[in-house]
Amino acid sequence: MVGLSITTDTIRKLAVLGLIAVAPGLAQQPPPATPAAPARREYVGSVMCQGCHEELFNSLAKTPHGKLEESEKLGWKEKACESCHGPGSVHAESASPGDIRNPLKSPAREANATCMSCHKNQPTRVGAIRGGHARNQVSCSNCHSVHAAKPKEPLKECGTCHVAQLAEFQKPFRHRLQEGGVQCVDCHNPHGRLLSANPLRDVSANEPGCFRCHGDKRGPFAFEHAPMRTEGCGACHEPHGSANPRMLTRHEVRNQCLECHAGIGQSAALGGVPPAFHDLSSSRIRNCTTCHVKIHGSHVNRALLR
Amino acid sequence: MKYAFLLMALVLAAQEKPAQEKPAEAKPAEAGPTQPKAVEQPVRGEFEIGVRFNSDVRGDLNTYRSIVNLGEGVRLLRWDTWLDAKKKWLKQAHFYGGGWGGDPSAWLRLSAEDGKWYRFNADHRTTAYFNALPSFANPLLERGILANQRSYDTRRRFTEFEVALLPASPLIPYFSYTRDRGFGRGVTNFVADANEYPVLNNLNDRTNVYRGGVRVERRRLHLTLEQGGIQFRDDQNTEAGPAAQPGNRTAPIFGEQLVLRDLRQAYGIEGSSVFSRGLVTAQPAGWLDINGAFQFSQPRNDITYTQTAAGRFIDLDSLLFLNTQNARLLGAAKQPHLTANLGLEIRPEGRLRVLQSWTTDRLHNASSVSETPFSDRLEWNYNQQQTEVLVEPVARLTLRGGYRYVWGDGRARASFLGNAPFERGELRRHGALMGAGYRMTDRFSLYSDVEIVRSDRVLFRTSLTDYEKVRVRGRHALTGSLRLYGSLQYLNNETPPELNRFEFRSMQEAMGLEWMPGSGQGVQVIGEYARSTIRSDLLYLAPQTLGSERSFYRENAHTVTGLVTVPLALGWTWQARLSAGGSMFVSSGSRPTDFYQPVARVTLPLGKRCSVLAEYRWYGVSQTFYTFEGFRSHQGIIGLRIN
Repeated sequence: MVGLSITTDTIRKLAVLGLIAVAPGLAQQPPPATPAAPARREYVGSVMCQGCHEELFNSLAKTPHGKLEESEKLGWKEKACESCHGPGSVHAESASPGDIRNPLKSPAREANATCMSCHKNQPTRVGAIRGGHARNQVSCSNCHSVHAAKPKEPLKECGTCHVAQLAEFQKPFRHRLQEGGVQCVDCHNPHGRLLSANPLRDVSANEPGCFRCHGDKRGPFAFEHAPMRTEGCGACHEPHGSANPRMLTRHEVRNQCLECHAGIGQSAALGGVPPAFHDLSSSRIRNCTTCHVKIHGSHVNRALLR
Repeated sequence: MKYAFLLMALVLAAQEKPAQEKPAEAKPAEAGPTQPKAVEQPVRGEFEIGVRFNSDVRGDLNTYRSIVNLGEGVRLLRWDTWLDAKKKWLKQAHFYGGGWGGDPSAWLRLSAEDGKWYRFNADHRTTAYFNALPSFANPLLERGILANQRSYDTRRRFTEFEVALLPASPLIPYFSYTRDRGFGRGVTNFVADANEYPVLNNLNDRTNVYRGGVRVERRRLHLTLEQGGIQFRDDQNTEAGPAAQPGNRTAPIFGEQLVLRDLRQAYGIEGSSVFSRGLVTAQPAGWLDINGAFQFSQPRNDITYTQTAAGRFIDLDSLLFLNTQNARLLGAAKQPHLTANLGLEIRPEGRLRVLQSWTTDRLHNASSVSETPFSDRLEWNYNQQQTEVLVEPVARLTLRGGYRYVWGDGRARASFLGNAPFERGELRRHGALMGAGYRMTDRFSLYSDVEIVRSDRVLFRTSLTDYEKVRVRGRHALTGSLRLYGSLQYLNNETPPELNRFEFRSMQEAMGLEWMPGSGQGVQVIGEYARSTIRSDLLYLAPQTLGSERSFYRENAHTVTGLVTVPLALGWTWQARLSAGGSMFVSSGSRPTDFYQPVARVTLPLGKRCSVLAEYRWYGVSQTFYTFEGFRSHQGIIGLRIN
């Protein structure tokens, strides 16, 4: 009975804490609709917006969105502002911020729906529906500044959420992110990917993004090292940075190899056959890559020796 | 009762806030005195040029070059230029880059458009890879020889051009060309029976990627069709001689000393690939989104390998001594690879979304090489089905729950010895997905992800089997100038003993702050701290004893990064600034490492558009268990910033 009472009490506390957590959201719900008939919302044109928001109007004109204002085909000629903010007649009358749609302050679902109505299928947008950002209420405006002619700095924007990943680039063996040699978006597609379990972007249709710069590892090799294809480079490397040379996940090469090539347990797994007749106590043999020099795959030798 | 008060206070606080908020963007034209309009410059931007001085590197120079590799001399450190031409053929251009003049990472990017007919992007970068660590995988280290047999001094050049035509139209053709080239020299091993010889390795590979396609952008239908091709060539070769070298085995075998006197190895690899992809997103009804993708590539390589080696070798199969080893091999490899996906987003009600997706990814590699009695084959099939339900019980709060099923199989040759049979591995994973996202205002957000996965079968001993993954991320702008952010990641895998006991646990906690009062014109403080731990524990079979041994890897790391910038009160018309900070990485465990990079920087303005830069950096690396991997270096830069 004691256990039951404790459980009930705990549940009650959790329920109250849950209410506390959602209370600000509840409080910010729009008030119930008043019986009065709402004012009719109509498009008023960007010139009307420019009257009060000239700075924003001018800066938008310098962005790719500026062409909305001029293009007949895109359907928003002279209504570029309202393509995202919705019809502005009520707001123009009242000048109240509550009377206009503001994607920056809307729930991410609504804000993203506005952007996605035009940007669904551009090359990097595929998979946006399932992307981790979209699922987690990260809206487009978190990373993109729609009005500013100068885009936000990718490194800075990624790093404010992915703090731990940014810290990994302070390790001694790393990709040259700080120097500008690579950017996060060279390897990752922030909008999502078909294979959602893998955060890398695709290149050349469906190849992992690593091959964009490391073309010599693309293959196909006559003799493949299977994990390269099935698990990806991350099976052996820490691509952001590592304390281990060559960005390996282990401090010694032999540990890296023998953890798979071990022959203990799980007979169905691949690569389980241990390396025979190798005396690892000899420094000549201890490092597998001394002989298996083509560890990523070989064009001529099944043992990856040349 | 106390909860009720707390609840009430929160509700009141949240209700009051909108009333206090002012429309940040609304600036009525009649309010306040009229500001004089700034004259818009057609060209704006800034660039930094400087001279770098290095002190003598204390410690190992090769390690310095493998990690930092910054040299002395004049450098174009950075530039960023915007052009508002407003001409018929060029409306706007952005040209920026950095690191030119000999730095290991140099890059430049250009984007230009006329607003109607074209949008053009170019990206060029060159990266130097130097890697010659004395202790890394060095078989002769115990003999006191620090020349690593796996060393490289190479460079990669990457160039990409992309042009989209009629970017403002619903039908957008686009074309792209990418060239990736690697070249340089290194040391690798020529492996003969019973001995290995370090030899010079000349590297030279080129990849050209061409692709073109069309994007159709309608209000309810978006379609991308792309076709591309790859040309690849790898002409690496090795050489040695004429002096005889004994290789890594110094002891005679059957009374004979093995030596290499001359070697010429040449890899002539020539390859191509054709790839296609089609992506579609459609909204047939307001409550339904459908997306699908089909991607196919078929890379292939033709192989011509020649080798002539002279010296004293042994053939362990026949136990005969040989004076030459010559080979000419011809081969081919092909790898068809198909990826397809279908996804649905169903919105039965405004705040309820159901996401459903099916994905398949399958490839096989088929190859044969002459004079090798066996062809080879690798097969890999991966499938994934995922269902997720997203609910917004209140505005700005999203709760997620779902299920992911992953299955597949792989097939590869069990061993490289003889005519080894093929072995097959299977993958079967069931995952429960949960998450919550709370975005109270645009100033506060908190996201979390939980993934609990159980596997019946996995492909490799080191694959994650039964694991839990948790991610939490949050951002809070306390004031307009102070922003806090943090994250927590946890991964715990325990492979059951009946498969093979593999315990892996990692945790990363990180937090940061940005304080920029006065829009960053005064004091600026940026700081981040991260702690990460990794623990991996796995048994393996030691080949020399056939007993089980333990592979145990641990890392406990702290990373601190910070930069404080303060204005200097020199009484000048333009403000001078001093920045100090840097980063520190300290870890213990299997490879204890200390890496310090403090930095101090002064900017002294000479006028409105010109300032002098002076920067001091110190690099210090030490790895306790690896005596040779350590260095200390001072570095200074004096330069000009012009904007």
